[in-house]
Amino acid sequence: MSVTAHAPIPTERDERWHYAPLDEINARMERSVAPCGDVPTSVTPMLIDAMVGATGARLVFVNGMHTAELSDCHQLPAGVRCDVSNTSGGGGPPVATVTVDEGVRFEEPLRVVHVAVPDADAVKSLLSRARTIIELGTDAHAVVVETFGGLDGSRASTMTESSTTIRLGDRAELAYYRIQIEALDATHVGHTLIDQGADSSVGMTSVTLGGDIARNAIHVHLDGPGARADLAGIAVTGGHQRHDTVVTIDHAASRCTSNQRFNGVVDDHGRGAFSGEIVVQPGTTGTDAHQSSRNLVLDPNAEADARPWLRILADDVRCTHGATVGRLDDDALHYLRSRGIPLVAARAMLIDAFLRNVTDSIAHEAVRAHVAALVTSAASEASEASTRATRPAWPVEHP
Amino acid sequence: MTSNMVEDLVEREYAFGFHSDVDTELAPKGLSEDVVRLISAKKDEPDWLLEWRLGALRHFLTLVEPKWPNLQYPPIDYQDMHYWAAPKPKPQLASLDEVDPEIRATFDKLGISLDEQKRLSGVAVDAILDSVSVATTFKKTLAEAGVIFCSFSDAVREHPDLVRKYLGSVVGYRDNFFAALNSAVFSDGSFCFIPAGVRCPMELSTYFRINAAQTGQFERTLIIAEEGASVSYLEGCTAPMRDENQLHAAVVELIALDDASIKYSTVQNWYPGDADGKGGIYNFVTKRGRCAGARSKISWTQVETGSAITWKYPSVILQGDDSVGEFYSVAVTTNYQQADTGTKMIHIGRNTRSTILSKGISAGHAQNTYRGLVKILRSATGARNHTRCDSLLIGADCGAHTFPYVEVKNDTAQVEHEASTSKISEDQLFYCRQRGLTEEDASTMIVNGFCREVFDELPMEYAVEAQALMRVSLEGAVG
Amino acid sequence: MLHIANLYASVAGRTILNGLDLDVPTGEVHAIMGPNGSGKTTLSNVLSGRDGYDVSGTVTFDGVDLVPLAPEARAAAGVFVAFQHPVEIPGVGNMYFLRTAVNSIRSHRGLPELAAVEFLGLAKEHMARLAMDPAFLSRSVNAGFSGGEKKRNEILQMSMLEPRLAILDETDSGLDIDALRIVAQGIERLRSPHRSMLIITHHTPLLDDVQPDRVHVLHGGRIVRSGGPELAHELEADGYGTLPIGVSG
Repeated sequence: MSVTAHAPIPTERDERWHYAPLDEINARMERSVAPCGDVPTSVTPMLIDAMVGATGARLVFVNGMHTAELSDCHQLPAGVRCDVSNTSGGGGPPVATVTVDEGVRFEEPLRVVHVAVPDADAVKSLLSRARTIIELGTDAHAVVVETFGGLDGSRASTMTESSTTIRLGDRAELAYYRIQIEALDATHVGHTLIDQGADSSVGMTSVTLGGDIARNAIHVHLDGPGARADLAGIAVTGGHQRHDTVVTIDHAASRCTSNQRFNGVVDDHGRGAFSGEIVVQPGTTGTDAHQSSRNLVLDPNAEADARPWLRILADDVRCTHGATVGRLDDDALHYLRSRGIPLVAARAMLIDAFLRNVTDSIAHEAVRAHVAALVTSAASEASEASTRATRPAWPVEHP
Repeated sequence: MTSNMVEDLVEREYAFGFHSDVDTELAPKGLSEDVVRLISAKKDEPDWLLEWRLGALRHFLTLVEPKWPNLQYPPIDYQDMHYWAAPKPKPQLASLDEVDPEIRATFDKLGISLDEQKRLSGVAVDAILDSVSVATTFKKTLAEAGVIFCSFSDAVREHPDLVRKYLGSVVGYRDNFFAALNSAVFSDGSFCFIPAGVRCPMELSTYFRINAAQTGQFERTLIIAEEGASVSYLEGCTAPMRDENQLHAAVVELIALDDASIKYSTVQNWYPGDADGKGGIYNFVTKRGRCAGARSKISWTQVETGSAITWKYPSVILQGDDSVGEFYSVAVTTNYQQADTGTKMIHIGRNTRSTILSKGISAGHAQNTYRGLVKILRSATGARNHTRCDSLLIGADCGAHTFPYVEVKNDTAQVEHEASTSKISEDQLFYCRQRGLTEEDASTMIVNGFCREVFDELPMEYAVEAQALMRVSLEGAVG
Repeated sequence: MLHIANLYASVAGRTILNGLDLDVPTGEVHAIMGPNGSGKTTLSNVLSGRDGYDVSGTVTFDGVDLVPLAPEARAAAGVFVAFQHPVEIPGVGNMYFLRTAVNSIRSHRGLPELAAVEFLGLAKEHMARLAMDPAFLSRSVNAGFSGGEKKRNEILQMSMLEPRLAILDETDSGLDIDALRIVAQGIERLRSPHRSMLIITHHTPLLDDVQPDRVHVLHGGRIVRSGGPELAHELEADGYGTLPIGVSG
């Protein structure tokens, strides 16, 4: 098995970690211990069903350990495999591998689920290492949903350090969903590397809702001519959460296109950051790259940061980026309320609508419904929290 | 771009590369407390200023040069240059007629006449040669309006209280590496004070010229507009062609009190080095304005075509409620020039507004970077920012980079940032050529159009000059 | 039903409504006419509870003081404002929006919520009467709608929310003749002895189709003249310039 895209956490200042609380992450890393022992009984098949919103083919890992009794990979057609392998040398964590052979098209979602469960007795947080490799052969086609879920700890919390490596052969097509719904006291440091062959296409949707400190780094390497990457993301950041999304798209070949649409909502004392970087390498031609970061600030104590970067080293390019930070539209809010919709519900509708352009573009219907439900519920929570915090312009009372 | 155009580019001429034979007094090479004391003594400075300089030097010695800019250059040996160069004899002029004829000729050649009667445009000029002010025109007219416009050295002598009150109040010597260096060894610069309620009756202008070899240039400019005052100020810069790199590390501080407005325009045309990237000025400049008062306004406009390396971020601290900050920039890099430039807008007061418009043009082997920060602090209720950064690439070997930071800590703020990078539109070129324009004329026209919104912010006569400068800078590079 | 007395409203220190008095009894249709800048839109904004105005004076609806109420509380009480410029809300589906609004108001009236199927049937029925394409429901609220579509959407909402007081702010502006007729028919259909209407306009064509019981002239932030339906035609013939106004301020 080849080496995964594990990117170590830096120990000193690194521009890609500009908005991440690096010292705190390193301190937590040091304080955590590796899990040992059995799968906690609290993790049941029903819990996994609820977490991923569906049954079907899946590989389940609890605290980094493959859990065969929760997994189900038996009824896959020829050329589609979900396996677990050990890293070479045997010292590292087990690796989930999803493989779709050359020319095979499989439309049903393949799921990889990582569940972080704190040790009920311990005071130290548990550190899980999640490793996934997704490989699509030439002309292969697949849908993969990777979910990072977790349970709240009684005393201790969890820390997940994840690394997903995706390799697409020429003309391969992948729809990849990365859903991070870890516990609200969890630490999550995720890294996704996507390496694309010629004329391949990836559509990735990232949803970041959980974690106390959560970093989601995505690196797309457009290595073959004509490759296309469409990335969309949602982050809803409340409480004292800190979410950091870092996207790099490296246009290393000609005629590649990339598109990024990331929407962030921050409320309460949350701090959400988006850093996006488009790199166009020398010697490439026909690059088309676009990026948009839209952010909604709902609370006077919240903070939204955006760092939309362009690093262009070739001239035959069409690159744009846009970033906005603002609040809910007063006119829209008044319109909804004037039709009888209460303030909290009206705000939730507008927050949901703000995130809608990402959820609506999810092609797979069941996945779309699952993600939309997660997002609607997060929007509704954000509305409740921020409506409480903000003094309403009018007392909400009825005659 | 066709190959003969590349050759044209290589043959591009820098029009201001001559050297003048002015007898020059130099301090020994190197940086030390002795050199700082020497500079201060030469200028007959009060003790507090010497102490301030020494404080800056001691702080500087604890710092390392920043590595984060997107700039590649060999290490600068700060001990291998002169920190003081002055035309000899030091001018103590009773009138402008006493200006050394050679210096006068130098400025005439640059198109900067020191004869007031020849200045039809009604622009007062402070001419600075190798860090020393050699002449200031229209002093009398300005004095009648209550405006103080003089060299920094004169200001220290004649208005020490004002200088002491405001020097370092916007850019302290602890601000950054180059600001610390400048604070220790600055030689001269311009000082400008517009008292309350006065609209400055004419454009003020400082013209900087580096002449001496192996000499760093460190000026300090301080502009204060009191309540309700307004002023428009322009600086221009050129230097001789030399094979060595020369360091220029200036500091500009602007202070606007209630309802005051300061418009600061720069046409920077320091020697950019030759076609192979040899020589040229290293331009590390700290420019910052403080909108200290309510409804005050500070507007920076810059046209940056010169220097081998440009590192500058003219910024505004929007402290007063309803204050306004603006940054309009055209940065052109060709051959092996590198520019890392942009702005910071720090919103502190309520209903503060800022606008950023940046146009970067990169050609040849040049690297052009926009770097900007828009920061909305918690206190800045109702703050607004709009930023637009466009980059144009000419040729496949150059780079254009856009590195903005947007940080919003207030839920009533509205911030919008947009940026684009592309090469000159083939469609536009074709359209123009079909109408009979040459490729080069068409390109120049399109590039000028690309920069139009920024040129429109310049005082009229300089807008024309800037367009001409663009044409010269891009000669042969476009197409 | 609606009683307004000595109503003042100002925005950013500028007084727009300047001691306005108006009574609209139950079942009557009143028209308010006035030149641009007379305060017509401010009146509808203030009645709907728009934030940002300093308001003083009395506005009661069936004896209930409206002034301290949130916009949704006014809607629940039965006040509906058809806006002059309905806002576009991309991302919020028309159907979801309308159903949430209908059910919020129903729950305040002690009525059971409508299930999705019931709601859809009802909505389609109302839409057919307004000659609206059912595809409207799957679009975002007003997003990309033409001027006429927006106005029809306002009338659709009005007919589904069944208000007791409908305030129509320049609902006729920007409509072509066919759209105007459909909108007028929609309004006329909602006319009932239990419902009052306040039609704000500065044109008369709508008033040909929807005959008002009373016409008021708004100028300088107050009612300067009131009369029967004939007043509208008088204004049409002579314009506002001939009015014995001169009482502004």
